[in-house]
Amino acid sequence: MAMTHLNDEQFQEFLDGGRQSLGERLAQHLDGCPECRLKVAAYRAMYRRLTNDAGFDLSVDFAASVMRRVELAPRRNPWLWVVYPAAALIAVVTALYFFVDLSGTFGRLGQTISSITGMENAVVNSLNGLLEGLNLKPSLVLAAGGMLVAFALLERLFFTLRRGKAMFFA
Amino acid sequence: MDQDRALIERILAGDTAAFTEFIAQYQRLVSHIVYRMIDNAADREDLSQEVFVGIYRGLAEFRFESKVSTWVGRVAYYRCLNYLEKMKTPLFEDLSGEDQTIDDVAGPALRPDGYAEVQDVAARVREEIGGLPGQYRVIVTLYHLDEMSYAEIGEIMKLPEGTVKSYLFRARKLLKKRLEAKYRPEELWR
Repeated sequence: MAMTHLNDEQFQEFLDGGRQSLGERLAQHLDGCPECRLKVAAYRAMYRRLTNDAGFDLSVDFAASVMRRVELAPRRNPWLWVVYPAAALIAVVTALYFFVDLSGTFGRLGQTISSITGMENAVVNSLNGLLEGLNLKPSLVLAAGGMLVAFALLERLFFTLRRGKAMFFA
Repeated sequence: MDQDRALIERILAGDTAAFTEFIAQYQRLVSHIVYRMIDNAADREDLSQEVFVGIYRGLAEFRFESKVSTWVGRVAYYRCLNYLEKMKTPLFEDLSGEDQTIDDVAGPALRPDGYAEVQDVAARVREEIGGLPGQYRVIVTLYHLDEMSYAEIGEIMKLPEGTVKSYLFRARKLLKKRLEAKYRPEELWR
């Protein structure tokens, strides 16, 4: 029975996936066709070259060089990323609560919303309840917030200096 | 995977020896990608180091959603892309190289019979791989040298599996065609 030879894709399918990837008819053709077998052999030899390729040698002290650079570029502790938003949140909430007259700031709209939802009262009452429950003075909360902000800034400064970056807010 | 996780946890806990182990484990993969993508030999070592520095700094963000090798490969691949972009070197030059004629691909030093001298077959093959389009080079390398699947290669290069397979087949066909245009098959494939 006359049959066309295998094409390049089929040779590669055969070498990648084995005989079953060709199907019975093509596999039988391959068994009996010297021309196709020669081409498969050439592809197989090329595969062997590709698999045994060398010439990617890094220097002997590659790992040591990386470690030196790593020491200059320290890894940031992931939990520190929580510090920044937490510090900002505490600072903003504290400032708003103690120093800003929200009803004046938001004007009539704020008062309307507050009166409709009762949210402002709820928030203020919750904060008051929390502070009283924890037996905390507002000044203590302020001090804690301030310390957190200072810590975040110092950490940022220290980290940036260790990285040797000139820009503070890189 | 569990071993990788344990190793990464040790690194995150500040064990620098663990990161040296990590480098030893993955430097082969990184060098394969960097060496295949970057032609400038002087920059390869430096770039490979940068890949590991980047990995070290980003290790805490790794969520084990893929294999560590795939993630390392991706970092290396994109670091090289950034480098090439900075150097204004097109990686994704035409992928239609397979349409070149034999005249286009034959090298200069041919013998009277039309074939070049085969001195070091491995070197010749490597040279021809270097002449393939960038994506082909990376795919061939990851598949044959690092024994990665189509899916893993696709994850590294952000390509669909079908595209990876298609590029791999075209790359090997093109490579064989170019080599056989220059060298006698019996010398080349002995």
